[in-house]
Amino acid sequence: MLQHLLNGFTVGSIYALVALGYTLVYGVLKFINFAHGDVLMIGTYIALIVFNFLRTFIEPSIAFIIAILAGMASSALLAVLIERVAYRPLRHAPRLAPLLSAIGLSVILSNTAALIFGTKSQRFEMPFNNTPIHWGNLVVTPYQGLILLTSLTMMVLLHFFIKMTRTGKAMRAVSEKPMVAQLMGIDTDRIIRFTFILGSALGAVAGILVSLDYKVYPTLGSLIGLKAFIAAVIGGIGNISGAMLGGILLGVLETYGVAVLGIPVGYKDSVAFVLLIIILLWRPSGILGSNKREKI
Amino acid sequence: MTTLLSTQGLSRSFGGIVAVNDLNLQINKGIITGLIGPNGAGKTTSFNCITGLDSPTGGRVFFNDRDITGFSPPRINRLGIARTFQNLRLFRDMTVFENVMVARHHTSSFSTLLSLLRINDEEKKIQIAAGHWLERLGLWTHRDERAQDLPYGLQKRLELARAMATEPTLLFLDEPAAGLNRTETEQLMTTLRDFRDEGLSIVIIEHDMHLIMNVCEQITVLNFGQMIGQGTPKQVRTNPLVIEAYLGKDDHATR
Repeated sequence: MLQHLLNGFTVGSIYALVALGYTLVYGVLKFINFAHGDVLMIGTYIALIVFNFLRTFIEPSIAFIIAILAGMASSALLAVLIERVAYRPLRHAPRLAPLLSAIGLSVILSNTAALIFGTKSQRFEMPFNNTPIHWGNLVVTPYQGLILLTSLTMMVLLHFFIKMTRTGKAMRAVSEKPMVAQLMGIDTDRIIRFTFILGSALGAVAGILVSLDYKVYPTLGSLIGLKAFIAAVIGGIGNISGAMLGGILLGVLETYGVAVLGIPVGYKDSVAFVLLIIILLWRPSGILGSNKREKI
Repeated sequence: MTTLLSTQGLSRSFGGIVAVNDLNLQINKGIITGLIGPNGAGKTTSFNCITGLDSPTGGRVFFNDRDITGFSPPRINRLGIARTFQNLRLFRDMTVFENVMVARHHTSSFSTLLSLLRINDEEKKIQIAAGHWLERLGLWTHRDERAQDLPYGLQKRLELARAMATEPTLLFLDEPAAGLNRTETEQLMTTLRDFRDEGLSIVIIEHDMHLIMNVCEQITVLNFGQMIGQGTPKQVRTNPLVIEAYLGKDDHATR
């Protein structure tokens, strides 16, 4: 039982990291960045290339750290570029326009990746020894440990960043009342750009971590992106703690669904959608979301 | 008296409706100017055009002899213009303290990533400045409460504190006394006079004539987007055009 919880938490923390990217951007722009999953896929590929290149020269663990940083940086750069050319010109357009732009980009990115990197899946060549560690009757693989440790650390850091720092406050201000934030001298464009950087860097970390156990392939971003989007909606889109909660909840329920309820593995992904339907019926604004109405 | 801000032929129309029509405002330095007029006279629209929230369809805005027409709101704010709103626009989910701290955002050279490394030093300065304005407006004891939990009168004061924390030289107040009781209004008047004595220039839109007539050195009257009168409270009070705009053509009304 505890084992499933641990496994669920591991998957869930990945969803949570990616969900944060959706929720952060939604917070400041009220817009779902459907290219998020593909941006993190590109970052994962870059990390893979950097890692495979460096590991012949230096210690694999150091190479891996550099690869993660390279992945984060390239995802962030790509997200900034996309924001500039594909979203910002549409900021005052009807809400559907940037959404379609995002979906279009998602298609372009995954196909470009297939063209450049090939459709065959590749993997990180064992950066570390992955023999499971037995801990009582609990089995933990070092990858799991790494995933949990990294993602939880990042979430805690993000929480304090948003709560305590000036930029965090500015992000909250832009999220709540962009116009007033501007009157306080906050450059909203800058904050929006920074939000994209933050979200896609977190996403890249998630992409890299998840490919340790699985593989890297061009549509990697689509499924994880979809799941994470569902997690963000479940938790309450735009709400940062909600994204974390939604991600973990989804991961745990998926694992329990297969292991305890006996849902066939092939139907594992349906858990997310069923959960989404239930949440949308019961609490459309998500678990932690509040449906405040904007007063004019 | 020197002119701090002026508009030349400022116009704003929404489709066929002309909200502000060829307005030539002149705001002098170091005094409190009242901007009055019946509802729909174009007062708030002029505020919006001056502070960058709305773009005028015609005319120019000059601040310290510099043409600021079409500047972005943050840029105008950094030049020293701040404002409050008719209907409160606080960051409702933030604490009182945070609301004011946000207003200090720009005062430090802000490079997003670098700021992470200098949190302590910069944050301290911001906190001191924010604390100063909270104390001045009697909100210090409420600093950790959520903005939306404050009573209305205090929310209004918080909005003023937040605007002041951006360190403006010119402050626009849109109906600061609306919803306040007598005592609160008197307090507000004292505060505004203090600010003026310290060198701040203020422009007030207000329907409370007691406040307007007692704190303003100069009053500008708008109707249908145009200026119909300007002068000292005494001059304005006796201006026939103003009386007509407020009370109608038949002067049976006694007030």
